[in-house]
Amino acid sequence: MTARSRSILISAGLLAAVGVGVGGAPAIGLVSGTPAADSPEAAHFAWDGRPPRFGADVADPHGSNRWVVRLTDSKDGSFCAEAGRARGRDASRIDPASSPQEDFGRVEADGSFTALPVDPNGVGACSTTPDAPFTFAVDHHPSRGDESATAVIFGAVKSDALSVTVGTKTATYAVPVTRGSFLLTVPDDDLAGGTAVLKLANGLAKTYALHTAKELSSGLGAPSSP
Amino acid sequence: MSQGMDRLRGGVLVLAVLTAVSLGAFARTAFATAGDPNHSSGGVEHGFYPGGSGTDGSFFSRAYPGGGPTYEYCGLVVTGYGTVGSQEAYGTTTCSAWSGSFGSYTECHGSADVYALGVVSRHTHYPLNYCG
Repeated sequence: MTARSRSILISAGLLAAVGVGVGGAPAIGLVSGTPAADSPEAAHFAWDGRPPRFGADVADPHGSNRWVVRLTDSKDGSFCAEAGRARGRDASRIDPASSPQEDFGRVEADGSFTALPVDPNGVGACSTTPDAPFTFAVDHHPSRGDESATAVIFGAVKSDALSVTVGTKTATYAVPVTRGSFLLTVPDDDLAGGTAVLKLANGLAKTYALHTAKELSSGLGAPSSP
Repeated sequence: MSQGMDRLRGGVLVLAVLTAVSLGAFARTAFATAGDPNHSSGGVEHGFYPGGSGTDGSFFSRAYPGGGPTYEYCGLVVTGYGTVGSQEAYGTTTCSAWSGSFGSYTECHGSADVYALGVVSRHTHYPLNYCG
């Protein structure tokens, strides 16, 4: 074999090796995978078209529009919950005539209300599992102006007898289950070291460790303690 | 002498091949997050989801556990603003942070910061039309 042909052979081998690395990365556990084009994801999050409902609501700690859960269902049969704000500046209640399509939204920095009709492609945090008939999620809203960062703990419930208790570094909250859902807002920093305990009538109990947005942004909390 | 040289040459070649494999793997990972808005890894679908279109300002950071992990984190990051909002999902709940919940942002500036306990290490996915 001549030096030139050996060199060509070695180069080809190295190129092939790079190819093996490119193709083999998923197999060795690196973050990667197959495209999700034919996945169940679309049906899981896609709205089934039935009217959304208002669930639990609570006053805003800063005196602005009330927080409220919006409940929807997805095309694969999942039940889903979103947390947002209700139209209207009456901090004591939601207008009984209000609509979960037109009167659910967010409050802007200037205090104005923006309606958020259901996005047909995404209906919130969902679950289908029959033996754990609830969802449990925490939204983290950054601080804004004079308002401190807010954590919104919420979920949908498919069981009548479920209790939710949230312990933060400053208080313990027994969160009522109302209209098939629960909702609690607390200062985000209070979640440090906090826990939530959910109990079902069938004896099932789940304990979840809570995290602050600061812990999450620094990479702490989330990786090791669910 | 010649045998020694051959052995040395063989060792260098093996080292070069291993290095090349590593480089390829690294390139694959980088490409997966830069040109790959979302995908399934270890049975967990996750990433950046544009919703109805890539330009309507409604987009999602998601992790769909698929019966695997018991905890997911999904954050929405927008260039110039940092993390504009995030969600944690526990148990069988799917994680889905919607841009609409947190503000009005230009979709192509968005990205998804995702994690699923024990399955997907924390990393970022970008939309196909990511504009920095």
